[in-house]
Amino acid sequence: MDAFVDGLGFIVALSLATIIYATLIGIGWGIALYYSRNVRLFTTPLLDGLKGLPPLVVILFGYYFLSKDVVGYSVPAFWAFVISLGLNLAAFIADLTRASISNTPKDMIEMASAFGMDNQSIMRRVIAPIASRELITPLSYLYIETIKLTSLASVIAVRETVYVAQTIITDTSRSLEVWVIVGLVYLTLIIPATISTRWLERHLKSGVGLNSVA
Amino acid sequence: MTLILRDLHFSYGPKAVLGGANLDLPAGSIFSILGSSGSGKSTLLRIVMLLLRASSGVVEYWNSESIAFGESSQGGASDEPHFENKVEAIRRRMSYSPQGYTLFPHLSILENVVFPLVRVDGVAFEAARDPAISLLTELGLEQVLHAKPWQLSGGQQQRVSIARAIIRKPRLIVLDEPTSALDVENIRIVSNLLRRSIEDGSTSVLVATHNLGFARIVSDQVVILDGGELSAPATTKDIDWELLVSKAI
Repeated sequence: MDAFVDGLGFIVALSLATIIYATLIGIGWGIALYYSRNVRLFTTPLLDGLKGLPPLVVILFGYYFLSKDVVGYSVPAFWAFVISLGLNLAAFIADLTRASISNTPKDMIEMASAFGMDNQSIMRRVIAPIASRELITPLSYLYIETIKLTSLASVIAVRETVYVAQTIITDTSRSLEVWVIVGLVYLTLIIPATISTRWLERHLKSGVGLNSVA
Repeated sequence: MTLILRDLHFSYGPKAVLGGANLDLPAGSIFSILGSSGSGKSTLLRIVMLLLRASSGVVEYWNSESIAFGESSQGGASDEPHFENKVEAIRRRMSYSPQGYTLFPHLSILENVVFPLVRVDGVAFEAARDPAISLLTELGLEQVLHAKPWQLSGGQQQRVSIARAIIRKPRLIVLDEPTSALDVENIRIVSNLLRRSIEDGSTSVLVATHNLGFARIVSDQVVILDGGELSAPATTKDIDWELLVSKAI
């Protein structure tokens, strides 16, 4: 049982690290995509490539690329997973961010301009709060998907729950019971996350702003 | 003069909307622009707000800032150093209530009204709050201070948009069809508020409206936009209102 608790800890750590890293890169990338023609021109092929590749392929590529043979330093499997899956997730977040900003009603931006606001303030005070309401729901589903995808870390020997399960099955041959426990471990994380997402959706629909002038 | 327009031209593609519009708006007065639908009233107001660029002509604000449009200005005015800063500075001395009200959906009604004061003019929220509540109360909106815009009717949203324009005490208030969703009583309240807002002589109001009754009670002078040109201003006493009705303006 202790091994499963450790595995659960790994899922949480992998998920948090991947989500934080991917969100920072993805939102920055999405804003740059919206504002800069050069960024759109030069990074769209990379974005499409990252979105098009299966996560397992990206993780395996990242694991072998971030090795001593290629980069001269062997990145621990945990971080190789975070970096590679994080990039995959960041590409989706960048696209969502760009789309959310583009969908901000033009009359809202024009109204803010009419007040005499500069572009930076318009982004911070008008576009960001309005776009973030649109962004939060798809983003939370991506985060839930990321928690599930941490199961792929077992292929590069990160000691998360699936890896632990495979080890226990090898020792005990009790596959069914072990996979039931693995499922329960994931559900203890996914169910609260799903409920939180639904609550957030309702919260946003009821019009409670994320930002206040007060 | 608060606002001077000289020979403003504007077209949407091949369709000319303004064909040399001229206007002198004195400080401390309310001018109404009347005209049929599609006559270019909103376009003219958006040019005044510097949200649209005229093909040619000059807009001068409070006798000190001017924006020249035209072929020479395409490589001229907009290329002036700090042009954007100049435009922002001019806009900070104006307020605008557009046809669609355009209230920010993430903010409450009270927050929407104080937004330009707090977020642009740097007034503390606590200082902006009481005048905003008092203005909203006068407009019959005291029950919805903390509601979101989507919870309000069109008429209520329109009054919030007008309150947001008035509270800033700008040099120029620009209102596009401010009474389109208002009943008679609210038209009277808005008229009184606008008349009061120009009392100190520093604020002027430019209104585009279809509502002849509103124009008649609120305006000092009226101009008619027809065929892309503005008529000479006339006082509400000098205007032939029957003729305007017969011309379906």
